[in-house]
Parts: sequence; structure tokens; C-alpha cells
Amino acid sequence: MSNDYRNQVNSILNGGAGYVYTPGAVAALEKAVRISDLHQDLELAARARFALVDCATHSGQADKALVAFTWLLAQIDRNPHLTKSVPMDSLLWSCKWIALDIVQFPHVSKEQILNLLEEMSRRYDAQGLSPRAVLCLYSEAWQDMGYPDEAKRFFNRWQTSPSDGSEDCEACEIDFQVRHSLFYGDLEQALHLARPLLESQLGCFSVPEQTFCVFLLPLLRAGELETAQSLESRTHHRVATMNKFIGEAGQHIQFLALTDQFTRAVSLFEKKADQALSSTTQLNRWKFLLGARALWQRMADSGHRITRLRVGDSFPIPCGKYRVYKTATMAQWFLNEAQRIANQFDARNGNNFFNQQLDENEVLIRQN
Amino acid sequence: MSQQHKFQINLRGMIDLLSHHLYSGPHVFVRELLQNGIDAIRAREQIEPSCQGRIDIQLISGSDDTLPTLVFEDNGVGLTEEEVHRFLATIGESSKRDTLAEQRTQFIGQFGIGLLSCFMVADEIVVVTRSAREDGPAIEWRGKPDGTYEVRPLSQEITPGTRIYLRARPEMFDYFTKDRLHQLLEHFGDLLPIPIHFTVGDHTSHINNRVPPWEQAYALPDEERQAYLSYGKEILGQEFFDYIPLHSEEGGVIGAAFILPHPTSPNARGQHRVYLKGMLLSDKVEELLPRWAVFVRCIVNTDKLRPVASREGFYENEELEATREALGKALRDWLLQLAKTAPDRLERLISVHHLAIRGLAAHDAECFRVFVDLLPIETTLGHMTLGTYRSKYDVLRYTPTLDVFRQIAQVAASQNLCIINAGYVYDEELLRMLGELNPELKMERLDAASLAQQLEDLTIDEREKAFELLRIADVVLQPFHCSSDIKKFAPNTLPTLYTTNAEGDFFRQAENTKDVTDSIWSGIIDAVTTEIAPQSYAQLCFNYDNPLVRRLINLGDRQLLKRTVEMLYVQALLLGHHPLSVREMSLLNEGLLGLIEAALDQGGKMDE
Repeated sequence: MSNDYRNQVNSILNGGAGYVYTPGAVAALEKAVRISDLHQDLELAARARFALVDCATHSGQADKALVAFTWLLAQIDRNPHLTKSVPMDSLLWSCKWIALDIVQFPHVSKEQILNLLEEMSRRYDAQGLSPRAVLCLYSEAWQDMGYPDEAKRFFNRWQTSPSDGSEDCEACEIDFQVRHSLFYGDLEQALHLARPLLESQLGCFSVPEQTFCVFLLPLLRAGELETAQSLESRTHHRVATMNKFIGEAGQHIQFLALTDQFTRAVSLFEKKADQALSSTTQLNRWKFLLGARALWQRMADSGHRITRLRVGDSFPIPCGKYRVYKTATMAQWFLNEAQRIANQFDARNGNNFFNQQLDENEVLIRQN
Repeated sequence: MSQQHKFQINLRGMIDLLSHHLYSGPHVFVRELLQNGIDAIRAREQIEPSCQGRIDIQLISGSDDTLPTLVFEDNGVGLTEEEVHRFLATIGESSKRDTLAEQRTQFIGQFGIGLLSCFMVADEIVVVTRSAREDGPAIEWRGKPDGTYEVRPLSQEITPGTRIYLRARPEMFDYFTKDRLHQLLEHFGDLLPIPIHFTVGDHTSHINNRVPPWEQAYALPDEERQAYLSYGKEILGQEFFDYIPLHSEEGGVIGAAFILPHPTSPNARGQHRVYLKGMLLSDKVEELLPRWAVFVRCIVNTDKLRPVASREGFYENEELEATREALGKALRDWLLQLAKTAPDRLERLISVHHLAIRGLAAHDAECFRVFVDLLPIETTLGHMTLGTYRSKYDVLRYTPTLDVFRQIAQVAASQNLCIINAGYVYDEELLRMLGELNPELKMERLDAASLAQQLEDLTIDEREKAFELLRIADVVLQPFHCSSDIKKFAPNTLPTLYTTNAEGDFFRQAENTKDVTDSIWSGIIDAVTTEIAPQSYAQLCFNYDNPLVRRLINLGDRQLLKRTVEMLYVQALLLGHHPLSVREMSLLNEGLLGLIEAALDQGGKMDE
């Protein structure tokens, strides 16, 4: 009898649930966690949670990853023998995802974010690891909160810190540098840095998709429409089909809307809306809202008054008969919602970084 | 006259780049050599259209103290001395990783990069080549991985073409055995249009004499079917249920999709065997078909898609997207045709691959209309097709997840309620489409809480009697974010129905985790969940028809009532396979001890 539950959990863990990143796989791993907890099997519960952290992170469910990770860290501190099942370096590797995602929740204060990064620094130091990974996280966190000077300070320290294998993969580090350059408006440098990605020489689970998506708007602004279009095409399929890419879908929709490619934009909107709008990771959700706002306003402005949409029952905007939606109503709803979230983020960050981006989106929408 | 030269590049670094970052393993040197041979023959055909291309590979076994040598020969265009020097320059440029893909598109570039891959398995490479373009002497090039090479003209007369000699590196001996080489040559080259011969000792075999089924003509449909299915079995190593011929102008694709004989997960990634102009690119190509098409494995040849630098996959570009759409359409059209010509076969196919067919139907209105009633479903009253369900019931009742379905299955079946488990991917979407297509169809989405609402209510008098039980229960359960209610339902042996949903489970997990962690982390969990967590995310519904619950309603002892509610709550959690938190565990311990004590007290009184 006692082996039955182990078989059940192992079959979930070995059945690849942890390696395909979908809500179904997350649910299966949550079940594996429940079964292990039910039998108070600490070792199995740790393994199941470790797989859950990975799967939930890469399926766009950062809140679930956070809860599972927190439990793991607490239990490993109390029961060091668990590192046989979940080695400390693997745990610290996944801690990077958690720290990166934490910034996505506007209710997590700046102080809490910095405390967490400090805690990470301590743990990396205790393991004798290079601070490179944490410095990168600091820089990204400040960047996401709209603090260029602080982001630059940590970026400079990151550049001189040694690599020892605990840092991000080569593709992710290029992605980090590209974002950094784009944050300061240096498109030329960003394109130069991104060459190994543009030439398909390097890549990982998230890269180059997330990198190409941040290029879309700057390229459009610079009039490099052909390059932007090619990056859109190259990433469209994976962004449309993989659960992790919520904010990225927003960036695609925004680009497609601003270039009047409505059919392609609406089709992507339909594919991602249910997941994006119910997502608890607000930064991703917000990027989606920006894209959707651009889409519906541009459609309304160009005379497309109504549209039919295939979206789930939880879609928050009421529709008429036969699932007919008014584009102007949608445009307004997405603006209000984006505004609400931008206010939450700006209140947390103590600046108007998000409202500025929202204003900029409005300007772009009104341009031809 | 021999000339000693040195590569002007870091050759070790280059070999390391190829073997560790670009290619999936040293075995690709065979493909690279085949590719060089094919390119050379194509180039010669340009200047001599009548040329009959041919590639010959010979393995010369080593003696006791020498390692085996592989000789790779083609009768292609060959190289001039100038070109020999130029391919070395190309290798130098290729060491900048981002120019690698570009270099590959040129004849000399590909030759250099291909040749370099041989250093993954060989310590010395000798190239003997004579150009068909110029009437110069044959040239010998001899290179080593330390970066030195020699070039000299040869005096003997040889026919145009190129011969490459590789002497095995000791640790790479495995790649120089007869079986391994035969397998690799067949693996990469079995669809190449130029004959490849492999000689070991005095035995020569023709590697690529197999003709794929799409290049053959058939007198009878059965003959064609047999040819395809046995080809699929031979190449992919398994029996298939059926096959679908594929032909698409987009991407220049020709081949077949083989239908798997067993169900596949909707999350499975396709592992398709894809050839580029006859050369195997990879047998693990994932993005060739739309996501729903998980029920087939393909063998296809393409002549248009653009390979990535490693030549082990394709660029994700518009051409690939268009190809994917065209192939998806071919699969779909075949299925729709099957519905007309062989509905029995379609039914069997759907019974095995209903998950994939659900995916297709959810994205395609016509497929939806044709397939929807054939889809198998699980209900609280057993398995049936959606068509059968619709013919029996006017209202389409369903639960959105398997967990909810399990929670309510027992109670619903007792009420003779037929409820569909719509927990498979695409189910909700399909039911919604069904509603759109049939506006008169009534649909009810149920979760455990809404099922509880469907259960029979108590009369006002009965509710009055149960008031104290519910009041105490609310107080007891409030710290656990659980509310209480009371209804009448079958089976009456069930005292309570504990209902929650996926969000409820998550918030429970978050609460339990806060109990074991420190303030930094519990603060963050709070910040992340506070805004979205409801006051209560679970409900304990008492069954008025259960004899124990009736006794509780009439129980005067509040302390005992409180304790019993706690125990029923913990029991409901255990029955529902919910792990207990630290607080719930102590509730169980205290409750159990309390009840034992109460029983002992009662026993003691009786003894007296």
C-alpha cells in the first residue's frame, strides 16, 4: 500500500508532467504534491515541489512557483538531508526565476523585493558562488521598477563579476544585455548584442522569443519595419502556443495593432486572452492589456465597430448575441484595467514609470 | 613541391564550438561529408549535364597497432589549388559563429565547415582532389587539428572528384566500425538521389536503394497501403494504424503522416523525420505540424525550408508557418474525407485519438460539426459518446475539471444526474462551440459548490432546528477559510460533502506554507495572495438525511458539538485526499483524544 502513492507520484514526475509547461502539467504536479503531503513523505514532497517550481514558472503561474519554492527552502533549511533529492545549487538556480517573477506582483513592496535579493546574495555567498546571477537580478528588478541609475549600477558590477556556472545561460545573459541596452534606448547596440540570437546560434527555453518581442516596438519606432516583421513572424508560433508567453503575446498584439495587421492580432488575442486575463502575474498581464488596448482602439478608430470573438466564459467584458463585442467598449475596458494596474505598480515603485508607458502607448495608437 | 602552412585560426576552439555547441554529436561528420559530396556532384552536373554522380565510401580496417581509415570519394566538381586555399580562409571566417549559417549557403563555405567537422573524429585529414573546371594537376591537402597543413600538387593522373581520408582518433574508434558506419550512412542518406556505395574488404553494399512509397506507382489501393505502412514500420520502428499521404507546394514537402496506434498526450511534441533535399535533417523535428496533430509521426522530404546552422532543425519563419498550415489542412481534409468514405475507420481512429481530434475540432468549425457527436465522454453515469448524451438529455451539464468531477460523481450518480467530465483539454471550448451552434441547447457548468446548490433544501422548520449546528460550524471552520451549509442528499451514509476548487486548493497550500516559513517569505506570499484570496474558499455541507447529522442537530452539549464538527471537517479533508496542515493535524489529535476521553467518561459512569 505504502508504495502505491510513491508509484503514483513518481509516475506524475516521470511522466514528463514537469517537462511540458501547461496548466494541465501544473495541476498534475500539484496533485503529486498533495499526495506526498498526505503521506507526509518529505523527500517525495520536495521532489514534487521542485518539479512544480519549474513547471509553474514556465507556464506563467509564478504564484504557484513561489509557494512551492518557499516550502522547499524552509524544509531544506530544517532538513539538510533533503539536498540529496534537491541539490542546493539547483534550488538556487530556480530561486532566480522566483526573484525575477516577484517584481511582477505590485502588492509585493520594494522593500520585500530587496530583502529577498539580499537573502539570495547571502545564500549564494554561503555556497561560495559568484554574485553574478544576483547582480543580474538586482539590475533587472530596478529596471522593471523604472530606476535607470540603480539598474546601471548593478549592470556595471555584473559586467566585472566572474562566471562560475551559477549564472544564467549564455542566451539568457545576452537577453539581459539586450534588454538593458533597449531600456536606455540604444537600439543599435542591442541589435549588435543580439546577433547570436538573430542568427539562431544560441537559444534556450525563453530566448530568443522574449528577446525578439522586446525589439518589436523599438524597431517600429525606428522605422525598421521589415526587421520587426521578420522577428514577429519568427516568434509568433511559439508565443501563440506556449503558456509562458503572456506579456510577449501582448507585445505581439501591440505591434500587429500598430501596423494594422488586425486579423493576425485578433487571432492571437483569442488564443491568449483567457489565460492572460486570469493570470495573477500582473506585469505580464499588464503587457497584454497594453497590446489589447492598442488593438481595440485602433480597430475602433479605423471603423471596425464590432467583432466576434471566441473567448471563454470568464472573459470579463459582456457581449451581445452571437458573441458580438463592441470594439470601443473593449478599448475602454482595457484602458481602464491597464490604468488600474499601472497605478498599483507606480504606487509600489514610487514613480510614474508605468503610467508613462501607458501614455506612450496612447500616443502610438493615435499615430498613423 | 610541398608547402607547410599554419591555420590562421584557433582550430581547437572551432572544433569545440562545432562539437559542443552546434552539433548534437560527432556522428554528424558522416552527414557533412555526404553533403559535401552531393554539393560537388550537383556543381559538376551544372557544367556536365550528362555526368552520373556517385559516392563511394570505403572502410579500411587497421591492423593491431594502426587505427582504421575511412575513404570518402565523390566524382563531383573537385577543387582547384586556389579553392583549397580559399576554403581554409572560409573556416577562419566561420569561426565567428554568426557567419556560420551564411558560409554554409556557398559551395566552398560548406565544404570547409563540413570538412572541419571531421576533426571531431579524426586526427588527420587528407584531401586529394582534382577540379573538373580547370585542367590543372590533382592537389593533396593534409591537415592536423593542431593547425598545421600541407598542400602539394600530385604528379599522378586522376579523374576529377574528391577523395577524403580520415584516420580515426583512438577514442573515436566506435565511429569507424562497419556496423556503425553503415547505420549512419543509411540514417542520413537513404533518400539521397545519388547512389551511395559502402565497401568493407571485398564486400560492397548499395546504401540508398530503397524507393520511398510516394515515389512509386501502384496498380491497386491495397498495394499502396501496404507499401506505405511497411515503409513507416521499417523507418520508424513501429506498426501504424493508418497513413495519410502528404504533398504541399508550401515548403516543397512530400511524404506521409503515419497514424499512431496508441493514444498520445495533447502536450506531446511531434517527433518527425524530416529530410532536406534527400538528406536527413533530423528525426526529432517538432514544429512541422499544428499543435493538435499529435496523433501522427511524419516522414517527409522538403526542398524549400531553411535549415539552421547546425542543419538539425529549421528556422521558424513564414515559410515554415505556411508549411505547417498546409500540412495541417492535408490531415484535416483526409479526416473529413474518411468521415464520408469509411466512417467505421474514423470512429475507431477517434476512439484512440479523441484528445487530438478534440484539439482539431476546437480550431475548425467544419471538423467540429462532423466529429463532435463521435467524441467519447466520461459522465457520472458511465462512458458514452457526446452524440448519445445529446440524444438522451436536454440539458448539457458538465464540470470543468477532473477534480471537481470526482468530488461530485458519487453524489450526482446517487441523484441519477448525468454530468460530463469536461476536464480534458479543449472540452470546455468544444461545449461552448456546441452551444453557439445550437442556441436552443441548455448548458450548465457545475462545480462542487453549484452541485451543492442543486441539492434539496431543508424546510424552514428543519433549518431552524439545524441553526445551532451551522452557527457552531461557522465559528469552528472560520480559521480554516471554510464555510458551512446543510442540504438533503443521497447517499445518506455520507454525513458531509466538502467542496473546494483549484483556487481553493492553492490558497490552502499557500496558508500551509506560511506556517512553515520565515517572515520574509510569508510576507511575500501574503502580498501575492491577499488581493485574490476570498474570505472562504471551501465549504462543508452537512447532509440532513444522515443519521449522525440528525443526532448532532439534537445535541445539547456545545463543547461536544464543536469537537464533532472539527472531526467531521478533518474526516472530510482526509476523504477528499487533502493533506492536513499543522493546525488541522493538531485538531485531529486533540479531537480524537477528546472523543476518547468523552467515551471513557461515559463508560466510567456506566461502570459506576
